[in-house]
Amino acid sequence: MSFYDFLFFSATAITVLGAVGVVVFGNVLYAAFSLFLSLAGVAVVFGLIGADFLMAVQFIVYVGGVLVLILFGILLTARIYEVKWKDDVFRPSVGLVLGGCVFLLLGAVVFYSALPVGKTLQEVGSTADSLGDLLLGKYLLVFEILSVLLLAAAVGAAVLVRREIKGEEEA
Amino acid sequence: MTLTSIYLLSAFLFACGVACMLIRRNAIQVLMGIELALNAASLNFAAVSRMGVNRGIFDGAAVSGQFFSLVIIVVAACEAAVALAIIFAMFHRFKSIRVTDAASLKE
Repeated sequence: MSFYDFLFFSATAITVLGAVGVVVFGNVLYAAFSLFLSLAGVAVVFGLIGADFLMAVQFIVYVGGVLVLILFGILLTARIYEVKWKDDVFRPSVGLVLGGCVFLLLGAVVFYSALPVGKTLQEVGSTADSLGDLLLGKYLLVFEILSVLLLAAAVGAAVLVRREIKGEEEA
Repeated sequence: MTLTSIYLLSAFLFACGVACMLIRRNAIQVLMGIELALNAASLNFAAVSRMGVNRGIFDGAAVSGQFFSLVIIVVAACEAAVALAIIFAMFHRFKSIRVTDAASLKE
């Protein structure tokens, strides 16, 4: 087993463990830390399949941004120490069986469809420069629309959480 | 190790996300399930785009899949921001973030 395979196995194991933790942990904070493990594992897998720019973006946006946002949300709203598994879940057996069915279905699709499989994975060079060409070339319009979408989401989030100031107009 | 293992990993992540969305009442944990599912999708796009890289092609066509992953990550960030804003508004109004408590339209 080469070092590449070793890295790959460990990243996959961390990702899978983190994803299982998100499903089974009753405490929201523990679930958030499991999500951190899972997202970091996916970032390492991105790096291993030659998507080095995506690895950086995954670390910055997901691990550094979204997860911190979620942690803020937990600390500001949830009563993390009073949560019990029983109050927190909604028919767990049905959900777990449905999740298992989704996994079996997708796994069957992986094995019985014409998805490209290719050779054994090994190290490749950086693809960041060609991705940059694509971003500011062929897909420039999509790139700009994405930035407008981000702006709209930021403004929308600020509008949603603002406190209504009542009586100011009359006063 | 071929791409099949990555497809299976992404299928597993997606199934975990679906299970998390279905069994949780806490809105933040539902949001975490959604994040897992979106991440699985972007992992799959990046894996398929690896095929072009495998063949030694490094031009734009080979990394288009990575661009789609990037789009998914940006949309997921927007979605997380708006969803957390909705959760905060819900907490102000219902004093709870359980998805089952936000049922005032029923009355």
